[in-house]
Amino acid sequence: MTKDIKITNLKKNFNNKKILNISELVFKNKEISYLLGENGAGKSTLLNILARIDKDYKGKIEDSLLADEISLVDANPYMLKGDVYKNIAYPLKIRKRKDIDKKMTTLLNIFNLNKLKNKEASKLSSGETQKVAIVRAISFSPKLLMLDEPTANLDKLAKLELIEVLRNYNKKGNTIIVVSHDHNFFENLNGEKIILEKLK
Amino acid sequence: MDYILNGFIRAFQLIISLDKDLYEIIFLSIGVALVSTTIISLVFIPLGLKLGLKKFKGEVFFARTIFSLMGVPSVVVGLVIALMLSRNSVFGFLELLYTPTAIIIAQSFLILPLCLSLTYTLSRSKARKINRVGKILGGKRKDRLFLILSELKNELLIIVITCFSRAITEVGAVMIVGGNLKGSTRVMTTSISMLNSMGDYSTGIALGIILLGITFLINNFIYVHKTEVKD
Repeated sequence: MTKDIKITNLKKNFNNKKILNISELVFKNKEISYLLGENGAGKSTLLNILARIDKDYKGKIEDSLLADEISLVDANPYMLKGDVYKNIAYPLKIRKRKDIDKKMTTLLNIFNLNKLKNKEASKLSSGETQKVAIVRAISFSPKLLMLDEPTANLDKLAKLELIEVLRNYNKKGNTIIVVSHDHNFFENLNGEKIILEKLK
Repeated sequence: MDYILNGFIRAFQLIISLDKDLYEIIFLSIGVALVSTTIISLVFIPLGLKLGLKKFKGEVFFARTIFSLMGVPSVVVGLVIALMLSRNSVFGFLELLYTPTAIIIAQSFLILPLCLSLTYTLSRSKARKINRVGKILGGKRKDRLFLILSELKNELLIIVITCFSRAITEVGAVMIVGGNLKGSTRVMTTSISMLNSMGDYSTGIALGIILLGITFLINNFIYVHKTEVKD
């Protein structure tokens, strides 16, 4: 059973500069949380630490998640060479899932990506790239999904679509953490706001 | 100007007549360049990728050093290796001076900084991003390695071919350590240099055309792949 993500005395320095200094912070299990804060407050760094990409920190992070159950969507996601199908199927392929085709059909239908499935990923628009990156990130059903500025390249309609996707994903019992400067976006998506102060 | 025309005619005569001496020189040139490129690629492409993926103290100094090493004059490399391999020197007992192995060693040292710096730069600019995506999506170390190699295969191939091109066209270092001995260490570049000294321009041009043909094919291949990379 998954539990809350509890951070205690987390400190992170980079080039002798303090980036993070969090005495206590909790991300509730199966909830949506927003990380807010000025540029340079360490929001993306915290996501990297939670995603276990950055292990160079001091402090304690308690959660019941395996690295395999965590996914992160970068602000500028990198698309792998090849088409959209290959990109979304990649996490399933490395997990040696036997039902890749079935799972892919479902994902492509749900996210209305059938028209794009054979398109070269490098030729997608920034909005399409963002969408594909999000679908790729949830393709393997991670219990913790983190998104860094997911609305940066999205138009109004795509934002509404994303809100719906995240709501549904959260309803399935998954935890979501979003970093965003887009107030409209998080006002429309009920969740807890967490403000990260910039260190001086 | 006649000798240029004669050179072309002689080049075709030599190629068509399957001249033994000529083909010996061509095969030796390609052979030593292939061996040195293979050795350096197998060792320094993985090393360059690994170093580029890691953040370490002195990264900038390291990058500057390997880039600076690309500019070391090839005759200096040849001279140092010749001194090391000469009979009374450290590695004299190996009796490698004036052998094809000495040419391979010289070419290897010449293309080493090229291979390492190009791979390191590629790794820093692209492999880091690919590795990150691999990690984010739950790829294990082996998955990420395959992902990086598959994503960068064209770029890595270009590096290998660039190194081969540099090795096969080298003359200074190869002349010093190989000695241009007929039937043993005579390659295309040293032959051209010698034929020029002898005033045998036609044969020199013939070999030049063949060398030019090989480098043209290589560079054409690189150009096609570079275009594919950009696309």
